[in-house]
Amino acid sequence: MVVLLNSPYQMEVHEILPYCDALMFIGTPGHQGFVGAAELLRGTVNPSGHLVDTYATSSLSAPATVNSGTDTPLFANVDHINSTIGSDECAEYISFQAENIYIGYRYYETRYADAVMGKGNASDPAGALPGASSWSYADEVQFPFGYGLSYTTFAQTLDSVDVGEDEITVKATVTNTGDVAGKSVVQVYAQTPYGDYEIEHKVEKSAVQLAGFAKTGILEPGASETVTVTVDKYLLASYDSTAHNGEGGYILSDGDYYLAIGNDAHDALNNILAGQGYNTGSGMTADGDPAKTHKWNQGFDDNKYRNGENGGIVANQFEDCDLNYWVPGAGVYLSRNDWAGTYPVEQTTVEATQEMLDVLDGEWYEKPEGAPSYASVAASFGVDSGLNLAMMKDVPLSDRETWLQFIYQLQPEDLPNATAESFQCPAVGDLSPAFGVGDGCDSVGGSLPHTVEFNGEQVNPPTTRYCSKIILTCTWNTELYAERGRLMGEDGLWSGFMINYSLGGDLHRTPFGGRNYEYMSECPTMSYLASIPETAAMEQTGSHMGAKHFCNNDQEFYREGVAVFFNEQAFREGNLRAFEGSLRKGGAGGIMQSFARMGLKWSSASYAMNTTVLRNEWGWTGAIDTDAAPCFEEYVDGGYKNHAAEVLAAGTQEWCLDSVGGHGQWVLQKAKDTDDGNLLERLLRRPSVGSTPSAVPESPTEWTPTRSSSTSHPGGRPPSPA
Amino acid sequence: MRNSKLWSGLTSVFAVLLVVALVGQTLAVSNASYINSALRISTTKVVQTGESGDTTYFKSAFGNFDDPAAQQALLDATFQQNINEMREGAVLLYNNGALPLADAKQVSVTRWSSC
Repeated sequence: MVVLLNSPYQMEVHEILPYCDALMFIGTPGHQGFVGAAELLRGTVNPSGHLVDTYATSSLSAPATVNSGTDTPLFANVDHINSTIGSDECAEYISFQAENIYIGYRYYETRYADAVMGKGNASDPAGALPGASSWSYADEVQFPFGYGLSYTTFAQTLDSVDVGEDEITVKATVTNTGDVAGKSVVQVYAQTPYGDYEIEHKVEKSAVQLAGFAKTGILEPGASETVTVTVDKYLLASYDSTAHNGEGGYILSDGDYYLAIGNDAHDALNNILAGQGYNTGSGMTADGDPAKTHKWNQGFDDNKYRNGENGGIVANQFEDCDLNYWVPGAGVYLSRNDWAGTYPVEQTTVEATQEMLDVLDGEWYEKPEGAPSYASVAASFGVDSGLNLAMMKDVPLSDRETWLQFIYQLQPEDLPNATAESFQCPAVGDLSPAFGVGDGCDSVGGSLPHTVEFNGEQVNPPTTRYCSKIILTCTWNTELYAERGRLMGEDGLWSGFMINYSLGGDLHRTPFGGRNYEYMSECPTMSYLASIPETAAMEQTGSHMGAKHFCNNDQEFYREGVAVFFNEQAFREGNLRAFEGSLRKGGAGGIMQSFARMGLKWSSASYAMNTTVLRNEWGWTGAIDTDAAPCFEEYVDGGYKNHAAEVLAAGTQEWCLDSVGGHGQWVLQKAKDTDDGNLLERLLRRPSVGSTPSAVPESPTEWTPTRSSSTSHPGGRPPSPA
Repeated sequence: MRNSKLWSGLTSVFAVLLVVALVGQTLAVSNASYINSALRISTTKVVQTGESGDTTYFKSAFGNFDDPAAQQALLDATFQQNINEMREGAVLLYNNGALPLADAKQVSVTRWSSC
């Protein structure tokens, strides 16, 4: 019996495996993918895909499952929350990311390495399969990250590793040692030091992390190919929230670094462990090959990645997303320093304090002191400069004067249309035409503007549905990533879409994420690397790529408003990193945000995420759109998606499914009613990226809770717990 | 009597029509984007003025999509990509030698709901 797994989610296959003659993951094929599956079964094509998720024996054996999905706990005082701020604020559920950085293989492989090395109480039964007397990798993992078989065999040798200042160049040779032609993937993994500094400063390290990869062409039996993989050292840095006397920043740890090639993450880790002198006698699942490992030493460096793209300093921005910031000691993060003592065996919840309620209620915007009057800002509008859109094509965004002259031809009343998006963005005055918007990670969505005959009727066919994002990512083929982006861009051009929300960046935090099929991987480095060619290729077509859902949309259960708490290292090296490739390197034209709360704030209302990180650290200039915040007729103020002033002030620019610009109109009216020129400037998108260094924000940035009765915490930000 | 019935009937009909029109207009206006999109109504058009030249800056690599040949060429390319993704993205997880099915003459296909 040959079993095809037509599901994008990791299946627990140990029960069916004894009855299988072969097992292949194909989920989901799209319009034409079954043709390829048949060719693989027939052997006219040789399989060369490799997993981008860990297949665990039990999907519930990962620490991330404790506080997520349908197991997401309620706030302990949910009734009080609802009666105080109203149930329309959707502030009932709390998802504490106790797993820290340990998602997917970063959990299973790191715990395995510590078990082999006898460190961190890794073999303790905490978190092991039910009934197990100790934690055992062989029992826990069915197929590791990067795993995949072929009809032939390959031998890979590590030829050279050249460690430069910013990049590491790896050369490896692949030889087809079997009887059938096929392609092979060279997977390069890294291990960075986890020493006394890291333990003391709570900087976590995965024992093995993807660093780069390359796929060969078709190799005939006996044929060889040498591939070059370039690794960006940035991907080996760790975010240390204690760096620079508590300001935080990226560090390169001091100590021994390892690079290794391997057939999968586990094999690469075994090669590293072999290089460190461990073997099956130490409890390894197999003896590694030290010849596939390269070791070098690196000194401590906390300045290399300190500067952002736009004059901003990369420093702590998400302290208030740590549950312990609000309720000291409320949450324990998993640490490899003590697996037994920190593995989340119980769910984490708290009673929301009054200070938390003040943020949860979503209303903290106050007219900043020194804000210009409405009239003084409005006076600039309505001046004909003779500029039209075609003339603006090559004007850089940094030329703010010219752009303002262009926009000031409008009336303030025209601006709300620029905040409207409902699969179509309406015209803005006479300056900017309406345009269509595509949506979907395996299809730009909608139907094509031509008809075909189907069952005797003329119908508009749907745009091509490709394989799930996971199958695409499992190719480990950057040319196929780029071609997917190029063709979906062409689909967009044909459909009249100026932007397509087609790049899913969220992590497969657990195998249960309802939108996992749209997202790439459990590994943020994989997502980072895979999204760059796809995004860049779509951008070249002229139909923009939009990445979604920024950030933390890793569960469908109560995704609207769920308060997600995490520490800054896990967020920056995890969710943010997964999007960073598409936005910062690939040049995506837009993002769609998520429904989740980053800590207590809706993602769309997070200034730290949407302005500080995106604009000042990454220098990203694309458009920022909410996830669906419907407004079909009249905007009703209140409710967690309807705090328009706060959302606009955070840097968000458009509201999805707001076809009439209702949120923007409300903000405009508020600006008039309260004589607040700052809000009008926000509608103008003026404080966006450009020539203004972020160190001197053009407008006041962080607004304080309006009901900040707790005067002991000026600015509404209680002091950090010790 | 007859007249009053007629008038009351007509009044009812027009009252209903009025409600339909009022509600319909509100719905239509508030859903203008959807309707325009579904009916492929463009609310703007490109006007060529002066000597701006060709303002289509991003041209499809497949030619003009008004041309059925260009449409077909894109569809062919997307279908090929879809197949290539599966060719290289499907992951063989276990194989005791049953695959490939090079010599198989008959294959029974079964699935979750196929009994």
